[in-house]
Amino acid sequence: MRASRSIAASLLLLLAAVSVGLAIGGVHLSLPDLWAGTGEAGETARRIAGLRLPRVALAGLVGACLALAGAAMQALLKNPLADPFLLGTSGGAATGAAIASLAGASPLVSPGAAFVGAVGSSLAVAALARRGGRLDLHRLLLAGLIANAFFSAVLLGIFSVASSQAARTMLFWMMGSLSDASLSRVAALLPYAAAGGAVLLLSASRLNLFAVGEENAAALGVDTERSKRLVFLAASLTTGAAVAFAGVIGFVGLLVPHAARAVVGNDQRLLLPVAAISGATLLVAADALSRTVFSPAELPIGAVTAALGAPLFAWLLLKNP
Amino acid sequence: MFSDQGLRTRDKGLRIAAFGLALVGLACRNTTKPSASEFPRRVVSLAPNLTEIVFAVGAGDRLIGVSDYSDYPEAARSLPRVGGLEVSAERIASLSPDLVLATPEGNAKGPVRALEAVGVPVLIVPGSSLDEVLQGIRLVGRRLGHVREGEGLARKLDSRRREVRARGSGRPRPSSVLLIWPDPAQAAGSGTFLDDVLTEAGAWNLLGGRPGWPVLSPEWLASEPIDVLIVPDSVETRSAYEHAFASGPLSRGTVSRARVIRIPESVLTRPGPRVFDALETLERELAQPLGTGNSRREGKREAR
Repeated sequence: MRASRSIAASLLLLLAAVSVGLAIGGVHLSLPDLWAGTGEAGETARRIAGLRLPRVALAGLVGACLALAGAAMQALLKNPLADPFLLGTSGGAATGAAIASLAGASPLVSPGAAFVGAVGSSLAVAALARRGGRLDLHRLLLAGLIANAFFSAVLLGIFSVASSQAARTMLFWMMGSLSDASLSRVAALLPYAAAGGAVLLLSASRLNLFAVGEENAAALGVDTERSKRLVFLAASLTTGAAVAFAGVIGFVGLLVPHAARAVVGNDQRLLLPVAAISGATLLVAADALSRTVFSPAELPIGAVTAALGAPLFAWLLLKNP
Repeated sequence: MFSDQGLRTRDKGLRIAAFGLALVGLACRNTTKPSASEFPRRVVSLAPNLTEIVFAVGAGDRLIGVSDYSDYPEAARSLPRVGGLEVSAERIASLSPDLVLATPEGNAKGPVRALEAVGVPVLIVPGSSLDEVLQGIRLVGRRLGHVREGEGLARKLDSRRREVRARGSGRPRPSSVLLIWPDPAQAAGSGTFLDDVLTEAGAWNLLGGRPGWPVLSPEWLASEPIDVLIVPDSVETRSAYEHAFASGPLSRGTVSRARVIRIPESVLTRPGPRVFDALETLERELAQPLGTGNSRREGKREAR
């Protein structure tokens, strides 16, 4: 079957990326060495394994969240440019999470704050972009630009009055980072990602009906307003969760669904799971790059994804005049 | 539904997951095991001031890795580097440290938390006041088993501070600004060890009411009554300061007429033992009547 083959292929790619992500890093420790780290090899190998595993897991989870949110929003808005980063959803989430963490809230609360920021930002952007009852493509992009400008202003403002560590913390929220990966953070992200992801994956067939037009979907018995709200909230939740633990990592939600759509087509029941798996693949691979290119220094992960995503964005813009 | 390939993939995935869980389990179990030796013997320092403290309490031979900017004392230069602004947690772990020294606000919050999570012992050394610097020296000494050296050094530095304070008291306090960066001008505010340095040396910190390291606008600098401007001096930053004095935010208004006192950057801006040298230098400079000290606007003339 075509569907299972596509899923199997994307899983294989993910496996390859995970193997590479586990095998390379700031120091050389090959997969066999990592294996040995579980046995006699001693403390150092175990510690490096303990650093690398949560990092790969966090990269995978965050990538899956962002790609899934991007794919679902693109289907919902019937717009190929709906990406949590470009539309300001990530910026809103980062602002929410940054305010929560500066106020001393526990890391367990910050996804909630990021969720609130993401929902607020998406509502504002949608309101700005709506024209005569529908979302206008150009207005949507401009509204995203406005939201991003506003949230970077808020972040810059907060951090310039906050403290001496401003610059570095700000870099985390604005460029994204996976350097804080640990098992407990992965465990804290997991329930939010699973809840949002499950709702999105289960909404796939309804999103298919949206593709043929809202009126037709309504005629086929879909409660369109309720479905729209549910998908919208779930996409904001997955985006918010990813941003709360890794900062703003751009273009994953744009890059991955497009590549996936080119391969598996526009059936959301297939596209959404493939996008989620491939999002994990992309971010695990990008993180492996960011850890090794300038080792022992680390490249911000957002710089890697932006370097891949910006050319694609340009190409999309040329293709959709 | 799933092809053979799919099944194999799932199987492989399960094995990887099991392997991962096994690793994680071992890593966790490991964290509860108490360390075998009494005092740490393999120490990594993530900041230059902490490197200086370790050497100053006589435990420099325990250091096996230091931050990129650790350039003092001479012996620190030849130690393995673990990164500067972005340290690599894996590289630090690969050195098998039994203690990592970090600052509360510095570079490596993410990597330090990740290291703690896999059971690497981390000691956070405070340094946001002169009292905290002394406290940090005692703390590092105790942790490395050099209690007497740490105590002795802290007491000696404290008595030098008291002498400075006594010499400076009774003199008029000149309005001062201590810069840590020229353009945009950034200075020491309240709650920093450099605010203590200014106050103890007998200066009046014009920014004593603003917390942290405020950025100063050119207008503020041109209009506030600044008598003394203290700037850190180093090969790396000299041209930036010269440019700021010649045509930047330090070239106009009251700040351009202030007396400039230059103190070597690595002595002044690191919350370690040598900041007490900076304290004495500053007090000596301030003791000289205005106008006879450093010729002011030296940088400005040079740049022209």
